Amino acid sequence: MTGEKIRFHPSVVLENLMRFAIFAVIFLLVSVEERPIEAFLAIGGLLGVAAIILFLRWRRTTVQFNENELIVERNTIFKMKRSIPYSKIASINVNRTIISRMFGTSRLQVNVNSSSNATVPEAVLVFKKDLADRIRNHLSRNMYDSEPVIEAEQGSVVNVDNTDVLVHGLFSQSTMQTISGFIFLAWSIFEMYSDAGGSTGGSSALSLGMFFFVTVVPSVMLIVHYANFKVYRVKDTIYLQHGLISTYRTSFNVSRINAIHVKSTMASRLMGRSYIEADVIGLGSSKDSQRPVLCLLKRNDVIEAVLKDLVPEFVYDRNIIVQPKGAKKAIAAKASLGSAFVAVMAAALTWVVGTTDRTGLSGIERTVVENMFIAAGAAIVLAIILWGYRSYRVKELSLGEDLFTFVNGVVDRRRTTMCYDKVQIVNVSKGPLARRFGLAVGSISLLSSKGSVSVSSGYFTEADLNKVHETVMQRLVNGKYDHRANEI
Amino acid sequence: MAREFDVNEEGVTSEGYKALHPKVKTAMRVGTLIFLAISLALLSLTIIFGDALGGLFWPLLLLFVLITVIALVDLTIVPIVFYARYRYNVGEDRIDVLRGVLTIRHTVVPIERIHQVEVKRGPINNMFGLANVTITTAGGVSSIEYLELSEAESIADRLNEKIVSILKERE
Repeated sequence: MTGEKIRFHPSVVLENLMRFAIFAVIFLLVSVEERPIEAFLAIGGLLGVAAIILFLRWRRTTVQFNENELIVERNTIFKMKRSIPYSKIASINVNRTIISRMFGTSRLQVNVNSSSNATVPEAVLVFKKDLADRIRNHLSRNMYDSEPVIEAEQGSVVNVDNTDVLVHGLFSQSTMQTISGFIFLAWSIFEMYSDAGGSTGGSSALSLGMFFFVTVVPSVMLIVHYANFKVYRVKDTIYLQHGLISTYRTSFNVSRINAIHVKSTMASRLMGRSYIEADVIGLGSSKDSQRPVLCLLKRNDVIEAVLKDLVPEFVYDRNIIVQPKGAKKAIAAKASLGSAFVAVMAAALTWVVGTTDRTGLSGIERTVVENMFIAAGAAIVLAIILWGYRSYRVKELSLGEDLFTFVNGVVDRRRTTMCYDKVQIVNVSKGPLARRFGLAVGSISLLSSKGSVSVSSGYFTEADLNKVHETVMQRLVNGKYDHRANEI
Repeated sequence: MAREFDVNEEGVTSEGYKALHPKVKTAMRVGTLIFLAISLALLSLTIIFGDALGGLFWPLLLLFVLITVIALVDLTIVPIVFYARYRYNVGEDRIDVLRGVLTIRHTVVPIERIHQVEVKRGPINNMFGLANVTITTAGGVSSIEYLELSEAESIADRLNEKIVSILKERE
């Protein structure tokens, strides 16, 4: 394999042509009624040209695996030669789509530690499955400087069965998303039983469609995406695989993890469950731009055990700092301002609807619409008060020797544990309200698989928040920071 | 004003942070004036062609009035507060920037984390001999704004030298 120039599997032409064909079909559906013959001819011609271009592109693209680097070279009008040193590769993902399965191929996505293209792989290589596996092993050997593991022999760190996948699909979506889905469902039922206008069938179906689009479809996609979930660690490498229709496999060194998030939605908290996500450098993939999930929704005690087994580097004895009493006043002041604004807006809208008769509604529908803003305003004010109360109790800060943690989220909770050595920029902000009570809010910039991300804290004393950047600087000065382990 | 922004006769705070040159205020005002002139021109067009806009006339008028009021605040108050509350310090191993009109933000960037340093000059800054130093890290971008050109270039050179020396030490 070394030094030899290899072409991708020809199915890559069909796979790329399929993507183009989807747009072509949409165009055809839009224009077919007016000029059917011209539309068919135009689409046929465009698909033909696209097929020729894609074929030439495939024929003139090669990949070469040298001793220290892989080189992807394209010799078309737009020439390209990309050299990726093995030492810079952060992860290799393997994706198998339906077309890949039909042709017995695999897509290898090679990612380097780049901040500019964090969500896009540096190279996508398509080969027959056995050749792709050999190449992946060859790359892994060069990346991790050890023999590749036999994946089938490895057991998962956590046992995730079909019920767990189902629970994760149903209850890991954000609470706001779930609520908005059920608002659409409620509105659809309301429209169905209302008799005004005579055109309720259409709008009821639209609301029902929105419910499916916002709640049902994402749940099904999550279930399909995370079916057959398996995660394990061999030495310092974490291996992750899942997927029912399209299978997804990736591996990355634990030193590439910048932060660990233990997350729970309101529904999952009621069940005593949470899940683990990781911010990993160089895990970009055009299709899977979300953070990798290291464990699906499981009982909280299981999650803590998984953290200890899988990423002990991100486990420490947390010395929890709760928000000071001044934060209660700052949050209350903020909530009062928000509530006053909502109350004024609700009163103004109710007055406008009550004094002008533009709705054209009568009976129960008119009563509902007239009182809708008052009811919604009252609900929002109540939500703001509850948010303020919970916000004070929920947010926490912990400062360890190597790690620190922010706990956030009134409705959907998130415990983010970060490594001082991965912190890129620290911001400590004092707004007019926070200043009055001697408090500040911290914001930490890190690199993740989604590009640069920022994690914010609650209200804490400036001295406590300043300890984050003081520790970052101390570790650089006293030699605790190891640049080889944190190279980006 | 908070004590952390108090400067001595040399324009330096007790913690070594530097203040910007006062011409920053004029540069900011010129920028706002250009923006205001464009807004007023659009406002005039809205009034002149009001009939053709139909139902959009009042919302557009309201929008442009709002923009004009904000621009007037930007012209009078913001440059004074911005100048009074902007301090920076390029130290041996970190960059500190203290800034903010309503919210005061303290930004810390360890020099070790810097990937790229850039000196940027727009047409207005160019007119006043000012420039921004943009610092890129793996986790985002930070900047020191409205520096005198010589100071901006000197900071960029110092940072580049430091980054090179850090990389050489590691070889």
